[in-house]
Amino acid sequence: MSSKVHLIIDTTALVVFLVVFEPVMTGLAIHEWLGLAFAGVLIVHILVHWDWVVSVTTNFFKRLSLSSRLNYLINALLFIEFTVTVFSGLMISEAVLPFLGLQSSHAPVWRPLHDLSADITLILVGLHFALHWRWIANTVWHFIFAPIWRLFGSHKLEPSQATAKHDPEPTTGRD
Amino acid sequence: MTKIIAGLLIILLAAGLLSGGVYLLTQIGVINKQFVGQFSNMSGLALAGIEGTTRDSSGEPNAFNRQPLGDLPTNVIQSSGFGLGIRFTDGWHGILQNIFLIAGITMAVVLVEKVILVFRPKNRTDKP
Repeated sequence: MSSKVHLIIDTTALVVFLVVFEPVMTGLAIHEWLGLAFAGVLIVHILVHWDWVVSVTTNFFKRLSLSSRLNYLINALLFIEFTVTVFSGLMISEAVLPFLGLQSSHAPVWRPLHDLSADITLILVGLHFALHWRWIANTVWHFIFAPIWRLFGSHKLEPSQATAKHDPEPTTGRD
Repeated sequence: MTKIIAGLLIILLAAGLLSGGVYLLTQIGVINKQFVGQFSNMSGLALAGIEGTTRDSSGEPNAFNRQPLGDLPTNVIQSSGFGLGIRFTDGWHGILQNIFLIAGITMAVVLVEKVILVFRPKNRTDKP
């Protein structure tokens, strides 16, 4: 899968994530439905990196770089925290569960669990973002800023020069 | 000594760019000053040159927190926000808050990485 598709999926995931994390802006019903939709985006995100997941899982206790191990642990924690957030959110749902004809739980544990796991998830997303910063910067430059830069500078270049200046697709910095 | 100075300069430069950039955005009205104050209080960061306050001139808490909005129960706003009871009633500011947090964590990690690289012995390799 190309870096451009990765960038589109990841950007979509980030935007949906930021919106889902602000129920104050969307209202409760959209927050709940969008949260469920985000679970779908997250599954796609994991599936497109499935080879990496299998590779690191099988080699975790063998020879593996420190950054890959750290990345794997943060991703695993992120997956657990997000699952807890979605599950606890469903337990206190006021829109999704009633729509499906199910009753929400009134147990006092779900609300603080939902808030705590959401806050931890946000910090872990920050770390996840930071560990892939080089790939993100390279890919955003390659697919967004470089074409704009070429657009303004292209009148000075011959077609052959423009082709020669075309950056190779970024591949580094992504596990 | 040169490496120490270089590391400190990188940190100072990043801190200057961050605080200067945020200050500029507050001056041109993109970011509300009270929001910056709230954010800096929440994160425990003292960003130089930024005028921020969590209280208005009468001494009352400002309008950013602890008010119900729309169909949201009050406790959604009060109980979230890293356990500090801080959540903005204006959703756009909340999204900005989260973007700042992610950007801050990214900057911190990248800085740590740079500092480690500065202090790393030159003859060290990752080869076995």
